[in-house]
Amino acid sequence: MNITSLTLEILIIIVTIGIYSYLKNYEKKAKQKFIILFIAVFLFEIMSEPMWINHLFNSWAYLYGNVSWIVTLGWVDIFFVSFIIVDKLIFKNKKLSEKIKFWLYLLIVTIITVPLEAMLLKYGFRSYSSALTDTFSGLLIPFTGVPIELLIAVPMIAALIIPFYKYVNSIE
Amino acid sequence: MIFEIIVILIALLFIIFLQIKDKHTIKKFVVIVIGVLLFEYFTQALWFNKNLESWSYLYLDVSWILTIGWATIVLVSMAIIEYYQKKSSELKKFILTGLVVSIIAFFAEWVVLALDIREYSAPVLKLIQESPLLFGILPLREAIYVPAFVFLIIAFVKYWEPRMEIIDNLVNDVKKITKRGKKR
Repeated sequence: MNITSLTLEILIIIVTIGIYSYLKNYEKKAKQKFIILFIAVFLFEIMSEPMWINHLFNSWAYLYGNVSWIVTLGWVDIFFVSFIIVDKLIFKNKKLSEKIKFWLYLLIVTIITVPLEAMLLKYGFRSYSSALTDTFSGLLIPFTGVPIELLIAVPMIAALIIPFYKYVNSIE
Repeated sequence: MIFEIIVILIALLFIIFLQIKDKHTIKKFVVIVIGVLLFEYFTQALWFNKNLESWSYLYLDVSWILTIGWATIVLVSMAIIEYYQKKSSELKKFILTGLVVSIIAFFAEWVVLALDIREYSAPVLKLIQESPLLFGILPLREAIYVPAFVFLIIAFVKYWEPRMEIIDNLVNDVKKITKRGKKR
């Protein structure tokens, strides 16, 4: 068993438990929301499976192929943190249109993701498939080893995941 | 050229027909196109769209002809479910729409592969080859992959459609200008 991987996996699980406990304080449907966001991210993980490889995780952290439920949980955490920052910290007492919130979610998800992606790349947990690297310009985000294309890719991912989460919650 | 013209004609036919029944059809179609484009841009590394006319490409091998083809499949599927499942819950409609789009998408994908318009990149081919076959013919990964992105796109459309009043306003403005032009 890889100890570095185990540390990362446990850390993600602890952060998830922390976020879920916080959500339960003010969300009646915290469990439902959590499951829906997990499904949304998981759909995206299925869709993007050929684009990147999740290395070094312990075998129990993989669902199939290189799709890892731990990575899925990590993404879920990033989205919930961005929802909490926008809804509960920045605009706690202000009524803001859903459209403005949406753009802020994308911005904050991207800001959180860049250093985390840099860390995953640096420690060898993440690599990109040749099909993807062939499309890269070779430019990196300053002070990181992250391709600049991530600044477009992350908001696009979020722009598909957030509507799924918001819409399915609204009809459930 | 024939493929491109057929896709454009089919898309126009359905948009005009559905616009008569539902005045928000153009708005729906535009939102679907945005959703499909997001997905196509994001996944451009996974496949190659080839053998289309040069004017049908938007960016590298991202083709607007394939985009409107996909968008028409989603639009028509949504209309079918809205028509036949009027009284069903939104969740049931959402799931049924996803299933209908997925079934049509399998055939559409088969057509573009057979016409040599679509080719998968090496990592996708490898994953498909490694995948077990459903009913002996359909790779499991393909069977999971298509519904996965279909449900994300349909949710994108359902979420953004009521928030895109600007498109309805534009359509109304164009209608007014056309009417004025006819009167003159």
